[in-house]
Amino acid sequence: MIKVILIDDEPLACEIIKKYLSHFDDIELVQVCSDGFEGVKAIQQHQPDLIFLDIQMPKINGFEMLELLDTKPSVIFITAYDSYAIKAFEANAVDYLLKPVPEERFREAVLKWKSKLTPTAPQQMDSVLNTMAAAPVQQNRVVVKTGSKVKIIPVHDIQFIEADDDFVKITISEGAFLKNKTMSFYEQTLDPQQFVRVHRSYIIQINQITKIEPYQKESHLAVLRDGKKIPVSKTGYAKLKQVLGI
Amino acid sequence: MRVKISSATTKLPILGFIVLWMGFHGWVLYSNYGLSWESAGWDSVIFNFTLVSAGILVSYLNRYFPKNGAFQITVGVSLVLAFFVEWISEQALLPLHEGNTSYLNFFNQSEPIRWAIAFLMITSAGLINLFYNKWKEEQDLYEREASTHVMVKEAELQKLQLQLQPHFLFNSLNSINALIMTQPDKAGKMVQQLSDFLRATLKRADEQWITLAKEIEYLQLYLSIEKVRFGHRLDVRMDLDDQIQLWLIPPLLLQPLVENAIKFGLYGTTGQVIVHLSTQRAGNSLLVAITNPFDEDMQPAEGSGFGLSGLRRRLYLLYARNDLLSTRTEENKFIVQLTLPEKYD
Repeated sequence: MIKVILIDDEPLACEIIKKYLSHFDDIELVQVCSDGFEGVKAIQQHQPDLIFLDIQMPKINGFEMLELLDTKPSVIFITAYDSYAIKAFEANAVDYLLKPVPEERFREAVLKWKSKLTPTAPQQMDSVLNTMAAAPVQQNRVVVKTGSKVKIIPVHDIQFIEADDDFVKITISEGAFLKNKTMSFYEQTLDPQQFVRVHRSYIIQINQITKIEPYQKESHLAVLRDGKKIPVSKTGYAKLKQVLGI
Repeated sequence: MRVKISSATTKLPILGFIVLWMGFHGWVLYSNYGLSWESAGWDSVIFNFTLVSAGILVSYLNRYFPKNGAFQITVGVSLVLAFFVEWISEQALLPLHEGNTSYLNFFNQSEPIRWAIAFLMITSAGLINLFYNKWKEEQDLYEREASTHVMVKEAELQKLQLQLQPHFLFNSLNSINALIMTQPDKAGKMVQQLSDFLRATLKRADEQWITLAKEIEYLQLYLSIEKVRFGHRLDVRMDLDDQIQLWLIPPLLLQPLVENAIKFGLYGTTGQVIVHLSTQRAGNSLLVAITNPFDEDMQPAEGSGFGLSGLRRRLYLLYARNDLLSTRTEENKFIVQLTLPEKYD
C-alpha cells in the first residue's frame, strides 16, 4: 500500500481529495492534517510515500513546513491561486494542482507520480523552497524546529548566523537554532543593508553591533549588544565599512 | 496655444482708448503748441495710425520669438519700430506742410519726444501681449493637468475598489465542487451566495456612496461564503449602532477590512478565530472598529501594516486625509479603527 498524508486547512477541500483518493485501491490515506504543525508531526510519525500539500495555511505555509523536514517525502502541491508559487513550480518543473481540482487531473498527477515519470528531484525541491523563502510572505521570518516544537523567528530578531557543518546556526536572544540552509542562501536573501557577511562563517545584523575592535593581523572582532564577539575578516571589514558608510 | 489679445471682450476698450488718445494728442497740439486744427488733426491721425500699426505688428510678431529671449527681442524690435514710426510720420506729414515753417520747426523739436512716446507705447503693447499669452498658456496647462488629475484619480479609485481576491474566488469554487459531491443542496445555495456577492461587487464599483446598512448587507453575503469554508474555526460578531444605519459611506470599504481581519486571523493563528466588528457615532464621524486575533510570532507584511495600504490610499483620494485609518495591537488582538467624516459633496 502507498501511504499518503493530506494537509489542507479547509475541511471541504479535504473532503474532495479524500473522495478522489477513495477511488484508488492501492493508496491508504493515513492522516488528514489542518496545518503545517500537525503536518510535520504526522510526516515524522508515518513516513508517507506521498503528501498532498496546500500552500496557504495557518501560521506556517506549505513551503515552510517542508523546510522543517529532514527527509522530504514526494509532494503534490495543491493551490487555489498563488502566482509567486506557480512561477516557482513552472520554473522547476514541479507538478502542482489548481483548485478546484478536476478528478481526471488529480488521477493523472497520481499516476504520473506512481510511474515515477515526474519524481521531484531533491534539488528541484530545494530550488522551489529557496525561491519561496525570498517571497514577500516569507522573507521577514525564518521557521525553525527545536525538538518537537516549531518556532517562527522574525528576521529582525536574528543576532547572527553561523556556519555549522551542513547547517547554519541562527542565534537570537533566546538561543540558537539549526536550519538546513547554506550561508550563501542567507547572504543572498536577507536585506544586505541589514545583514552583512563579515566572515566566511558569519553573517551579522548590523544594528546588533556595539563596537568593532582590532584583533590580530588584518582582522577585527565585532562586539554585539550582549557582549558576544564575532570574528570579522579583512573583506568582511571592508563590506561592513561600506554598509555603515564609514 | 497663444491667444491674441484682441478677443471680443478686449477689442472695444482698446479701440476707445485709441480714439481718446488721438483726441488728446490733437488737442494738446492745438491748445499748447498753437497749431491749427488742421495740422493738429493730421499730425495726430498719421502719427498715431502708424503707432497703432507698429503695436499690432509687434504683438503678432512676438509669437514667433524664441521663448527664452522673448522679452529682450520685444524691446529690441520696439526700438526699431519706433524709428519706423518716426520716419513714416515724417514722410507723410512734411509734404503736407510745405512752406509752413512754424509746423516744420515744431516737428523738428518734437522728434525726440515722438520717438520716446512711440518706443514706450510699442514696447508696452508688445510686452502686455507677451505676458498675456504666457499667462493664458499656463492657465491652459493648469486646466489640462487638473482634468487629467481627476481622470487618474477616478481610475485609481475604481481599481482600488475592485480588488476581487482571486484566492477567495478559486477557493470558493473549490468548496462548491466539494459540496456538489457531498451535499448537493448546500452546493446550490453556495453558488447562489457567491453569485449574489459577485453581482453586488460589480454593482458597488459604479456607486459613489451607499448606506452603511447596504454595506453591512454586502458584508453578510461575503461572510455567508466564508462560513461555508471556515465555519469550523471562524466566528464573526457584530455590534452595530442602529441610529447610523442610513449614514452614507464609500462602498466596498468595510468588506475588505473584514476580509483582511479574517485572513490574518485564519492564517496568522491556529485555533478559533473571533472577528469583532463594531460601528458607532462619535460627533460628526462614524467610527468602525474591527478586531482579529493576532499572534506575536507572526510578522505583519513589511510596511503595509497588514495589507491596508490600498485602503489608506483610497481614503486619501476620497477625503484628502491620511489619519482616518489607524491600527494597534492589544495583547493578542489586532485592532483596525476607521473614522469616516460625515459625507460632503
